[in-house]
Amino acid sequence: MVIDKNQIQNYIPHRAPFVMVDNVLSCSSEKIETNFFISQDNVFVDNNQFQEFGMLENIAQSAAAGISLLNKNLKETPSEGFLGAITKLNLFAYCSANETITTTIYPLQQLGNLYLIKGEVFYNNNKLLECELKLAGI
Amino acid sequence: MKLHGEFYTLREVTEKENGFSAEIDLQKKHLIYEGHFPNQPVTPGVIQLKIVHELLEHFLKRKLQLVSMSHCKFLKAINPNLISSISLSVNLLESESELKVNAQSKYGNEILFKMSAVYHQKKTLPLEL
Repeated sequence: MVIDKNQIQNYIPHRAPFVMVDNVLSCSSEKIETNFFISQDNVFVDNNQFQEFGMLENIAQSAAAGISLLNKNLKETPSEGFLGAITKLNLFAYCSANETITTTIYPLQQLGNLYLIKGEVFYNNNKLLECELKLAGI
Repeated sequence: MKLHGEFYTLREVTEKENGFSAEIDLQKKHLIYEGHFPNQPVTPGVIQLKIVHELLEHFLKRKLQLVSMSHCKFLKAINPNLISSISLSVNLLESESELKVNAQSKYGNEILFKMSAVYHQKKTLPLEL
């Protein structure tokens, strides 16, 4: 593990109840892996299902935490990133609350502080959602 | 968490050819802004998509399931203290198997976001694991 959930808030500006990533498991410029336990009181749990909006936010925050670590820009208050665009999104399945998802991020392109990343969310080796995101200002 | 009535209120929904338009008012205070971000509220992009989903279900009076989104672009960060009312314009194209949605939101003449997505009726796909 490269970032523990107790330290994650040093790498992303999000705070409760809008923190959607726990641990960064591995991190390189090619691939970032994270996990996240979905608590029952998560704002994106509806009818006991973790909604796609939460999975999207999880991908964005996973990328932000990993990129922040790679750039070593550990700050008191990490800069507020901005979700610029979503493309190529496919939703395959949901998982329920009280389960842990794992997320893989592939950084594809960087232009200054603009990043294009591909993200995939898994539960028990089943892919739940995939998409590409443009993130700015990490 | 349902956003309607808590995060925003719906002022008006108007049916139009091939879809509808809606006027919503954002609440300045909500639990979500405590974390996004402390002392600097920004309406999360994913929350804007959830609002569109709720409005679609409200207008069509049935549960919908997102299948895919070819693109979605957020053009302006929304500070709810500065931008309180949003106009949404939604175009629908329904076939037997799917519902194609093109949505755009505006504050005055300024475009906030636009998106294209495909939905199914909730009972079909995807299945819960």
